[in-house]
Amino acid sequence: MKTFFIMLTAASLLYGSYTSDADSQTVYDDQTDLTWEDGVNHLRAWGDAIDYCESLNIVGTGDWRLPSVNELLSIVDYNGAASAVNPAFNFLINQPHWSATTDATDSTYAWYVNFSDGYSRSFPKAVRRYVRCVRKGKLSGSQNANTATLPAIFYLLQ
Amino acid sequence: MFKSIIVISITFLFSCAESYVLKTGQTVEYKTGDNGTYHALTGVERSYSRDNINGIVSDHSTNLQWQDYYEEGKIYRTDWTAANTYCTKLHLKGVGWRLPTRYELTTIVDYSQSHPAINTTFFQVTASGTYWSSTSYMKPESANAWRTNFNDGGDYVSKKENVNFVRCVRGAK
Repeated sequence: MKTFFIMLTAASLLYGSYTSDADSQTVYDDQTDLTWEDGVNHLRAWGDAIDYCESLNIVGTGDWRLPSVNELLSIVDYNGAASAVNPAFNFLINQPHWSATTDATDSTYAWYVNFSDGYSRSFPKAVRRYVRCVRKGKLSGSQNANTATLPAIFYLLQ
Repeated sequence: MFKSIIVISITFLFSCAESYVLKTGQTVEYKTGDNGTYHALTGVERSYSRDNINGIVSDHSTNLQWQDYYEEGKIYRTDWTAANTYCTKLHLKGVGWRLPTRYELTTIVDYSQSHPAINTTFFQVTASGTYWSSTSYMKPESANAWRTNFNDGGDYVSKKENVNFVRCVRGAK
């Protein structure tokens, strides 16, 4: 019983608010009420990253967009030992990811977040970076099977 | 058993405390589909007030209070260890101050502004430079810690012995 509580505590610390869905390749964060695309990675210039998210359709839902820099920072794992990649994600990698926020000092630059250690940096929009799309709310088509509410338990048991 | 439940509750409160996403400040649209297009959707609106007598800014979105006053108007600048000590010893309408975490520091960045990238209506005493956070790089014993650059809002790692500006915080953690 005690062990169970310790595990539960560890689980909520590390992955508390995240639910990953393998079928739709998305991760839902119930603290921010955001659903994140968690599919295969492609490098895209900033404008192409926006167009990609605008045209993305997952299980019939098309209201995806490129995240703001603050939204992107909300999934940084500040406690990660090896990287700032949030362990609730399957495909997120330790590389720079574009945000939809433009640098106020130079509109040819936008902000990215690097999940190597979670820093943000302003960079030329023409450069190709990785992309994670986001949308507000839970995906209605994704509450079927394979939904792991506390994925940390699986990690701990391995 | 009860201890475990308490630990869970504390953990829950802790994880909730950093759950908010705030608006970046950007409302200008540079391309359809960017942060400007969706600014209404992307986070909580900031809600500041300023205690002009004491020089304290309250952020009602995060329940944090920020130091916005320095003796003789000189924004304090020091190394990381001294920055932590300065905040814990600060008396500004009472005590309870500490160096902000990296995440807390990013909540007062306004990405639509620069030099400094902050709402200067409320934060009236801000250097266009780098500010210490309490967050060490990767592990607590690291020789480096995170700092946020209020020229533009970016954050970077700095050696703890380096000198950066200090703004203390108190409240919800």
